[in-house]
Amino acid sequence: MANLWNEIILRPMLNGLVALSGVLPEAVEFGLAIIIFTLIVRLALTPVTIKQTKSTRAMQELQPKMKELQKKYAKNKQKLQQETMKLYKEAGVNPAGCMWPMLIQFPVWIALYQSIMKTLATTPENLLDLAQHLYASDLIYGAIPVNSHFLWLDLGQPDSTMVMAILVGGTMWVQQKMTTAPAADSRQAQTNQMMLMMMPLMFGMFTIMFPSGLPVFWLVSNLIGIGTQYFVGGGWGYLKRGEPSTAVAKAK
Amino acid sequence: MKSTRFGLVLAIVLAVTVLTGCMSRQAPQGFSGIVSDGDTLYVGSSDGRIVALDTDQRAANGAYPSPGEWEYAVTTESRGGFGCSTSTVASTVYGAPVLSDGRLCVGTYEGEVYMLDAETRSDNSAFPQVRSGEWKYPREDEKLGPIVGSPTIVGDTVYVCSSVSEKRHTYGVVYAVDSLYGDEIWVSENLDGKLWVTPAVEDGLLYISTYDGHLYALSAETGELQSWSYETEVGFVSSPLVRNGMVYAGSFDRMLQAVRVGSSTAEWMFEGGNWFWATPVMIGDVMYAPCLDGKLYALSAGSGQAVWAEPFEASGALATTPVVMGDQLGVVTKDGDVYVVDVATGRGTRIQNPDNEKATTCNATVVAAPAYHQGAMFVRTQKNVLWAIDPIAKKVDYTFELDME
Repeated sequence: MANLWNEIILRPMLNGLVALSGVLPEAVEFGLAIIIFTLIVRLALTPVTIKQTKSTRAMQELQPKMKELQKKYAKNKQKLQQETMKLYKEAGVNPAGCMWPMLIQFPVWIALYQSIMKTLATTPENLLDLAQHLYASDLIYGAIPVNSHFLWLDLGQPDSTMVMAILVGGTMWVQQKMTTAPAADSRQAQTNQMMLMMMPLMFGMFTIMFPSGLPVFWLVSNLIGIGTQYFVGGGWGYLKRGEPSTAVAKAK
Repeated sequence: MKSTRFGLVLAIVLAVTVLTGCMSRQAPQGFSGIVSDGDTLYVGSSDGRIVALDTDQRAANGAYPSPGEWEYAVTTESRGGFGCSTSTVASTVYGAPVLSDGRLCVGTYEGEVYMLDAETRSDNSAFPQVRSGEWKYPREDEKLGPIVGSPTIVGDTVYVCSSVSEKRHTYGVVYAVDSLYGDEIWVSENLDGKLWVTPAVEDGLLYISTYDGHLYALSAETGELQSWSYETEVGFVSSPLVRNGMVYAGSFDRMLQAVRVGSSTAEWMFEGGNWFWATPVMIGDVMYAPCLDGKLYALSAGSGQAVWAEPFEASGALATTPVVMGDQLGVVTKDGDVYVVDVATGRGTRIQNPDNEKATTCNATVVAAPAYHQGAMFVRTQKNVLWAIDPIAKKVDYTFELDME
């Protein structure tokens, strides 16, 4: 299984990243390679992302009706569940529809993450391990070791300033805020608020701990996510209004 | 809403699992080797210990430790909790310990050099003992950058290479330290690129190969950088081997390069199927170069021409320098297969695993350099098991678990 993963997903991605690094200007080679490669992978996943965004939007558009149902059947949980499912069915929405595209993307993100970490080869063990993953090509071998310096960062070391942590946490919060609908009751709102803060804080912490090549990937990925959400999901969503989008308002 | 919440929880769980899983792989582990003084075998473990063994006792399965056997955990102060707390943790040691007059020298990835006196360590005394020749460099709390190669000791001086990351550059720095007292003799100027190597010394000059593709020569006495240097487009991956005014080192483009000191072009280059990660070993005029492509090449040191009709082909990547055992070479693959190879013909015999003939000889990863001691070959796996191999009978003699209390 591990071999299958390495040969089909990890090695092509890792070698692609190294080859890209080999053709870019040396001063910014690996940092720029991470950015371009993240863009390419994001582009390849565009159909899946759009599907996910549309599913999420469809779910959001049902929120006003959901609120009505929650209000109407506040004391009858079973009836609420039945009516909710009926609503989903009538609207042609699959509640798990926004989950599957996300799950499909996970292996790709994991492989991209592994590729970045392996290529940076911050320890002697990592460098030795990298040798086993490289294709026998002059371009690939000529690009190793990659220049790990990019802007103010040493991509192989955690960022000692807090800049990347703030950028990663901030963009992640914005991205999540754009898609998190306001909750009907206060308990749910509290849970949402906690979830909204947890991921950005956690990734902010990871940014302080991990080699900064990875936060660069997270940051670019978040920015693309925000862009996709803005153009496909219909503007700033819940970030600007804190209420359902214009489309939902019109539907009302 | 429920599905969004479920998605977030799932994302958090997956992110934590993936990131923490991968983080452990990023942590340096070390692969210190083995060294023998003829009587005692000194083994660097993969958890920062130096273990002194009486191999007669180990072969007889005697109680451990027997008189003269000891172990010392090389440790370092580590800052945790955003620098608010400190704790003592095991150091990471990559290079094999180096012996000098009954003392052992090791450099750590955490940037410290230790000189241990074997006799003092056998008493289990606190480190360092005054007037015993034991010391730590730097003496104060400060540390050097990561040390990956072994120190090199010539006369009364210890030479060690380290790497320092500053702003937008990573520099290599060479340090010369008095071997008896640990006093600093000189510090080289900053050299571009990482220095993950063991320096080589010949005729009063110290040679190093850098990650960014330079071979430099420094005065062993003063540290002054010599006017000659050799530059290649790709970096060097192995430590240099220097013989008769020629410097040999493996580069990232899969070449083994031979450069005459003073020349700006390579005398010869030999291409392997992967990196020449480990430093070659030389017997007479023939160089035996292990390669990560799984082959051991025998090359004429003068011309780079192949000496054997075919290179010796092992079952996996060769990441350690072969050990010379008379007219045989002890060769170990990264996956733990051990071979005894005839120097003249390049023919080899694989040593069988005594318990499982389908497994590799040691059934574990081996990255630490093996050693030859009292007629036996010793290999330490990353699982901290020491394997004693009889190169004549071509079988495993015994194993010893270094983690045993």
